[in-house]
Amino acid sequence: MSQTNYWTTLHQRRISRRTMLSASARAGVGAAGLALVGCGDDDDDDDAAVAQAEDQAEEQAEDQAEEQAQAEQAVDDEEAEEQAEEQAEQVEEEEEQAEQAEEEQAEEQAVAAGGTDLDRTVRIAIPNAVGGLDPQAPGNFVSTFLLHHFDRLLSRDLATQEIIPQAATWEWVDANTAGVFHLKDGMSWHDGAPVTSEDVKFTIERLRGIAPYNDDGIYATGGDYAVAAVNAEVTVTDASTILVPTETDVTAQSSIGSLALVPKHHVEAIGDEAFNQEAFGSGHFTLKSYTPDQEVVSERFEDYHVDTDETYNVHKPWIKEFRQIVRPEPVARVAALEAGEVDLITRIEVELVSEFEDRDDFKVLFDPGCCPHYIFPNTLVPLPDGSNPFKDIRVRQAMNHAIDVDTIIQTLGTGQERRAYGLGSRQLGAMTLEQATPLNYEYNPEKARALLAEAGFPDGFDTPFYGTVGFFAATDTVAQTVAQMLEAVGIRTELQLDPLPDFRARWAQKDVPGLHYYFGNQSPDPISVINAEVADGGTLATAIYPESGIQELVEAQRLEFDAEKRAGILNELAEKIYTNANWIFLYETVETGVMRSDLDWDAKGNTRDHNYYFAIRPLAT
Amino acid sequence: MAGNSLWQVLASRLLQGLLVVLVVVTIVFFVSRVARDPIQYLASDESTQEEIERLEEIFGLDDHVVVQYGRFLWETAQFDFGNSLVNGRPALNEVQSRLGKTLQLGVASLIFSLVLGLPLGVIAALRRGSPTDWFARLLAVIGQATPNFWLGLMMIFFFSVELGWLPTGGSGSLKHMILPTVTLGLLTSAAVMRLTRSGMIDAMGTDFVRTARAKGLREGTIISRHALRHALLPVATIMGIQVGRLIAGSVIIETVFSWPGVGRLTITAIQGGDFPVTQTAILLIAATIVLANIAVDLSYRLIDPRIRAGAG
Repeated sequence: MSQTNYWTTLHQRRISRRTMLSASARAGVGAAGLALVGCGDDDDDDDAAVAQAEDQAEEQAEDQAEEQAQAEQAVDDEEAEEQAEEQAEQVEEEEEQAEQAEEEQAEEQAVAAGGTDLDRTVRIAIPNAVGGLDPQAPGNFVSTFLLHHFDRLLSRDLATQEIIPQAATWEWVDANTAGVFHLKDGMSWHDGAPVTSEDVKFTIERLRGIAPYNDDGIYATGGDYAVAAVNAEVTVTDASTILVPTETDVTAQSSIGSLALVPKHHVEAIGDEAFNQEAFGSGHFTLKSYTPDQEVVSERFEDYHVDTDETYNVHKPWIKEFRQIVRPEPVARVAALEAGEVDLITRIEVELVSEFEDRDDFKVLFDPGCCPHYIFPNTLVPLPDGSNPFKDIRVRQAMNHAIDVDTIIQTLGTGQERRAYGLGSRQLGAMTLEQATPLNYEYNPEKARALLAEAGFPDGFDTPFYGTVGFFAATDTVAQTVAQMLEAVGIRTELQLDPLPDFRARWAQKDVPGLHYYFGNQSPDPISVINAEVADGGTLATAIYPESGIQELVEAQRLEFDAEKRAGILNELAEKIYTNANWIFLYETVETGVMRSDLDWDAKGNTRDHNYYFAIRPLAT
Repeated sequence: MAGNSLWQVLASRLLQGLLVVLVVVTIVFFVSRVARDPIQYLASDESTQEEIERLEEIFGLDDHVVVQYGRFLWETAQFDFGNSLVNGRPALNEVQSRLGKTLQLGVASLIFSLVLGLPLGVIAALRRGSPTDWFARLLAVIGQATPNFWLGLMMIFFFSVELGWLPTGGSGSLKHMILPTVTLGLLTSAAVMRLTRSGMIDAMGTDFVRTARAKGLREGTIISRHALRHALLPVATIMGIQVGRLIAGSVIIETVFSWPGVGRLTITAIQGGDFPVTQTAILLIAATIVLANIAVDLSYRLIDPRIRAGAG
């Protein structure tokens, strides 16, 4: 779609007084000419008439002389006006030149600073912005657009996915029963007060609902699960050191490490309710203004403890001001980008993104590696006919062979998705590509039918099939396609599609038989997927295979504190889950977005996580 | 007595309205709990059963649904609508803070629809069969047949992206109001135009208009003081319904144009399982529609002297 056209240029065009005057003058001359040509008289024989004509001519000559004098005066006036206008325009031009010179100087400074424009405001269109400002308030999980105002103890390297220090370094002590976190030097809250270990303790205890500081005694955040790894009292050793007794290292990293730190002095001073309206943290952005449903404006925290020389680790942002502008409707987000109201849009459907692919003024983001999609059979509950075919590995293998994942990727996806293997995305502890490729369940309906017959289901079977709508793009059409492919080999499904919360609520009951289409998340470690969907007793674990050796590996990785050894166990676990055909493995989603070509943002698969806006680099142009 | 009758009518309408609001909120209350488990919006994949139970206790969801309903009615009667599950603020405050924006948009759309629909309807009726009439009817058909969601997006692309005249969304200035107002008001203006046109055609053929002409009144006076007044009665009726439509339409339009009103809040609250806000928003919307209809009922008495006389 063109940004410049006749109408836009027309409404932008300036019509000066001089132009109007000259146009009027031309019109006047033209009218006079027309009058002369159209009104002339050829009859001049009569003397009287000649004398009369002479008189008239004299009168006309006098009139003309008078008119000429008036016209000359008018021209003088006009010239004076024109001169004044010219002078004004000259001043304007000089001002413009001065502004241009200033801009060029700023650009030169930006280029000198490494090709990054550190003075830019970047605007992004986001689907929604409601909620409070307190990252620990119940239900405030939707406020992820504010998370960059808060620091976390640990982070991960965007490129390697390695867990790294953000606000603190850490070590394991007391025979691996506790973690010691050392806060980095020079950290401060946005009000200038230093961040101390008392703040970390307070953050953990407030979330656990055991921090007595307000009139009600404690704050019921309902967020215990986030710090479930903490199994005893947290001890402050000194101003920058804290000891946290934990059950395992992995849960400590993914729960305690990812907590948004809150300032004890501020929460205690103003109380929970006020903090939800006036919260601040120590993160790389400070909150400038927040208008619910409309806009969140943040600024670079100039005193942030990590400078901009980092690339893939959390650091002081390159963006000076960051505006998150609410545009709930995806097409309206695209329109806002086209109209120049925003610089960046994410979570856009493939069809909309593809329109920007061949344009020089925009860059299309295809950010692969998020959120593998699977279909989970329920092995705990038999189907309505009393059978439980999903317990047989041949049936599960048959289902995997029945699905043409590559065609789904090409026709329903962006074409850039990758097949899903194991328990997480490739970045998060699944098998390596080399490990996975030979194990690939190739599309082979004949083989699927043969495996079903071998398992005692030559005519297939009937099963309920539950899917979701609205959370990820195209999950409904993918589910419908999968249902058709399964039916082609004899597995007749009754598909029901629901919004995610309804789907999840039903599945969490674990007593609903059939197939359930769900997806892994993108937390820094696959532990959350393992705990919820693999471990026996997990809240969403309905595909359980006691004889497979999987639960032993789940326990082994949980108890392993050596990072390399644990990675090896995770690798083995992923391979076991895949070869055991635990689930029907589909693909890892691709996050799509579009940004202006004067921005650079390699989010490494993290565009869903608002905490990674620090990595947006405005380019000096 | 005419005065007593007015109060009786008002009291009767208010009672009926109260009943309607009660039925609406009851349906919303049970649907939001039976169809969905709010706790699933608050818990994570890793939440244990103990955590879920604790959340249920915090939000009072561990009681039987009938007990919850009784508590809800009792608290609602005291204007206590509970707190938002998303940000902990009182649900009524959340809705109230956006009600002004929705009313602003609704009133502007209503004015737009009247300003466009009434004159167009009158002109179309007076020049029946002319190109003006044909154009007005075409506009009415398009206005009523076009989904406002699609129309809104087209408006954004034409006026914001192509021409660059107006912002794509948001609020804050008069410019921000133009596109949502026109989009929302076009449907209503089509209805107003059609009813005005047919009402005027009827009126112009009535005895009282003939009498007025016979008395030698000017045509303008006949149209404005006699015929139009007669034609406005069905328009007033439809306006009551249109208020409901405008508010319902605002749910979509506020989403398309990022207008921070009650409609968008309702959508967000439904999506996020924030049932206290959902209930409060729908209660206020229902109350607004009921009050608008009562106002329309009363306006009959102003427009049509026969109703006043009958009542008296």
